[in-house]
Amino acid sequence: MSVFRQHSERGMGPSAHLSGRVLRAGIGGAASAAPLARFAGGGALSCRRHRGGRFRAAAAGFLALGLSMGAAGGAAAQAEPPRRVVSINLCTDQLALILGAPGQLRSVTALAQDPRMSVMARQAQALPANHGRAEEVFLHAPDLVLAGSYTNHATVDMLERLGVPVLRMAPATTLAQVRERLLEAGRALGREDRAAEVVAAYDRRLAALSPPAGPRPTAANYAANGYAAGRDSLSAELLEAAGFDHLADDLGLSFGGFLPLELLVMADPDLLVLARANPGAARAEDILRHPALHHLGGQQVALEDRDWICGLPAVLDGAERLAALRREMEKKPALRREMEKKPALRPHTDKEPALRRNRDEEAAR
Amino acid sequence: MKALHIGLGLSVAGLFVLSLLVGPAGIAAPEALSALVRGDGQTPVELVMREIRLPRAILAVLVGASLGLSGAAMQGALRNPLAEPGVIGVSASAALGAVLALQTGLAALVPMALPGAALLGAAVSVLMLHLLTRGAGTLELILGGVAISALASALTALVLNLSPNPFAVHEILFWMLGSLADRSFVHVWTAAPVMLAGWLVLLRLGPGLDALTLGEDAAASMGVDLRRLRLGLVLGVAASVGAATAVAGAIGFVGLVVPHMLRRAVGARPSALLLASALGGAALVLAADLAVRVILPERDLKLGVVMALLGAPLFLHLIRKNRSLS
Amino acid sequence: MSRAAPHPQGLAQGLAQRQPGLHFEALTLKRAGRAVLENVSFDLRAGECLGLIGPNGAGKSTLMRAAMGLLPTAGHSDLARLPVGARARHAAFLPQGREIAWPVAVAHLVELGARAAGRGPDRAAAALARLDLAALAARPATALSGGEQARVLLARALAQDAPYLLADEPIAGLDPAQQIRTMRLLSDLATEGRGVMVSIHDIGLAARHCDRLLVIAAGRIVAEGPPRAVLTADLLARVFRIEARISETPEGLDIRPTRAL
Repeated sequence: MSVFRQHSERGMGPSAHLSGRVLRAGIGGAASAAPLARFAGGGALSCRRHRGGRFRAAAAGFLALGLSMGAAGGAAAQAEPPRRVVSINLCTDQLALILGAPGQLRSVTALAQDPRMSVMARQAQALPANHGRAEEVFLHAPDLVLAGSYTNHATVDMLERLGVPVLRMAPATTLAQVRERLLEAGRALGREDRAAEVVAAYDRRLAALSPPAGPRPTAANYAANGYAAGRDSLSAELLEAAGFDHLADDLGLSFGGFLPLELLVMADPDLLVLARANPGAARAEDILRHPALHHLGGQQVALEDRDWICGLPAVLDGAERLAALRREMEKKPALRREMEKKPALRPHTDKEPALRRNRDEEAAR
Repeated sequence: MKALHIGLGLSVAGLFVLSLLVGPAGIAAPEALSALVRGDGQTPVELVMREIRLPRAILAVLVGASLGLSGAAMQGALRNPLAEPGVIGVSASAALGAVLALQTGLAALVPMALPGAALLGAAVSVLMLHLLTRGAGTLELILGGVAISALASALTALVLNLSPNPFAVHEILFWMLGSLADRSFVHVWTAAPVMLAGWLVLLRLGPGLDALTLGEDAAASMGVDLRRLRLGLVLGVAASVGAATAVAGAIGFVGLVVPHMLRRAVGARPSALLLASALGGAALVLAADLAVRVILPERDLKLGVVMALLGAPLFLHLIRKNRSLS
Repeated sequence: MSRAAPHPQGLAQGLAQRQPGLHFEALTLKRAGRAVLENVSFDLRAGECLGLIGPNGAGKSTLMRAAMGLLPTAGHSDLARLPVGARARHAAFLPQGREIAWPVAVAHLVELGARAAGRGPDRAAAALARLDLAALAARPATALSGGEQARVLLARALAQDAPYLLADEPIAGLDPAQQIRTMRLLSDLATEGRGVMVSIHDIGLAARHCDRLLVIAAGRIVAEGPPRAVLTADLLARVFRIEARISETPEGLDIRPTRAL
């Protein structure tokens, strides 16, 4: 039971009290939107929505590989910057759009042109779209292809066999990695100066986010299929940066996973960040409209997938919105009192076995 | 007979309560049950009990009863123990109807369009099967069902693949295997009226189905209006299975397993099998939904998986028995 | 339409006042342009056993079903004109295929007949007794032998206690003793005042047990009358394509086919 609200003191059983502060479920964010990328065939983040933990763990492994290749690409680029760049991943699309020189980028994925998924849809629409298939990419005669580390291996292998240099970039899962990816892409494109500029602006905005001191309301994010991003996710870090405690911590959802609706309701977070439903119906998204969520007392806010799907400077837009919300909550005197009274609660003991199992499974991966 | 109905009713009640008590939130039983009736429904425990567990348990009863009853009615009318909405493609067709209503946006615009479209899909398939297999044997029924099922599933997959919603494509599994996870009262209110109407129609078919034990000519000579019976069957099954599928996906084998298990207990009379199968279906789906939550609490294991594990071997057994008879 | 169809009460009245019987007139049924029944008219009188004979494919079963109102047929049938729900009280029908779909207890199956005709359970009990089925009453009908099943189905028809019985090939596939017992029962029913129409392949049994024969070939009635008048060597050759020895015996007319033509 959240202490952030008035009804929280109403007569509840001991278990409800214990569940109090508790559940910190992260959600949504990059991982929740992954199927979007997969849907259109080019996504770096593919696979991860369903097998979150394992692939995140794998991501760490691939990261080193990606970085080393990035360095190699960078070295080549310094000699002579690529002139015909094709990107086949939603996130590298947007990185290249931010950093690329005029005319340098020849094609981006169709996904990047979709305003629901891309923060740079307008710019992307000026370029020819690809669908991440080797043939169409090859026809652009690229001297550099930007791909995600989870982009279809067959496609990437095929391009490499055809002699096309491919840079595979791992998705950014922390705010620090957003910086690294910008610099990495800047090197690959021979645009180090532009990258440094963007990174400097990013650092300034990030520093300005500094959350207010004092007790922090809990926030959870929740996406289609009941997916909650874990503690070690970009979305969790964004919530933390905006001044919220992330529900996933106490739940042991370090890598993210499926959070039963019951547990979310019992945790009753002060802020619920819901993924915005896509057009066209999907049962997976019914859960975002479940009546139980609408009866919850906490504040709710919807974020677009495009705001967090890729580790771009634009993720700070979402974080700034959340920080503004946080400041408003702070201003309400009643809530403030509640916050100050906030007791230190331990996780609900009954919940422990299920959660521990969840955590163990994640660890096993 | 009465004892059987009472026994089945008690097991439905028991499983219903058990279903309310099982969930990841680990609420103690007394607290859980009192949260159902006391308070204004705003605290988390009350929300979990009233908005999450209660509708799920109610839907399990409604869906199970619909599928059990429809299976019993279809078997009686087609005089074939293999006739079952899931096996012969009625559920798949209902799912297609539901998916079309959802993806065209009709379901959001017109109230009751979702169960209505599912009903229509189911009705088309029941009608086709009935015309296809009248007077024909088991082989025609199964083959016709396989074809209808395959076609409906393929079209469902196609529609979902064409959806602008990126999650829709993952929904194919749900529509083929069914699940009650996180269904709300919205779904209960959507489906219940249509299901109940279907039950009323099906439960009245009893005497006609009894007479059909002796074949269509004998039944007609004994005063059974076959055309009305067929219409009742098509509408009743379509409404029950259609509405059930619209909110819970296609859950197979319930209508196969339940009548088979209860047939002997009711002396094989199709009329007596109707109510018994409705109760048995409710109990079975409640139990299966408990099983999916106990076995893999965090995974949304599909109900159809559990049902197929039970039902498919029985189905094969029935085919074998059927062959040795003919 | 030579006369108004009797409605339920009218039929009972008709039975009491006029020459009691069912009238069928100009029954005609075409399938794929071919006439399966053509202008078939006959009466089934109360108290008679009417045998319907004819070679395979002549239209016997079709005529039985058409008479009962089970097929959409042009022409007039006293039974077909009744509302569906009222039929069971006026005529019982025993279909050719002996279908028992579920392992229902014999007693329940027989009760179906009584209930369909709105009769009490005593009629079902009487029918069970008459067909010597009392000992099998609790057994699932599907577990019985073919002969026993045939008796169960006949008992169901009897339990309707209707003034008319139409039986389509009731003795097909039965052993000789059962065949004789069944035909005996049917002619007894006629003696008791019911009208019985029975289609049958065995011309000898038909000749001995039926009061009147209706001979059908290619969908038309080709002869009608008492067995002795109908079953001539000429008709047997023309309709059935057989040569037969016809002789009078103490048990009745004896027809013994000797050669196929």
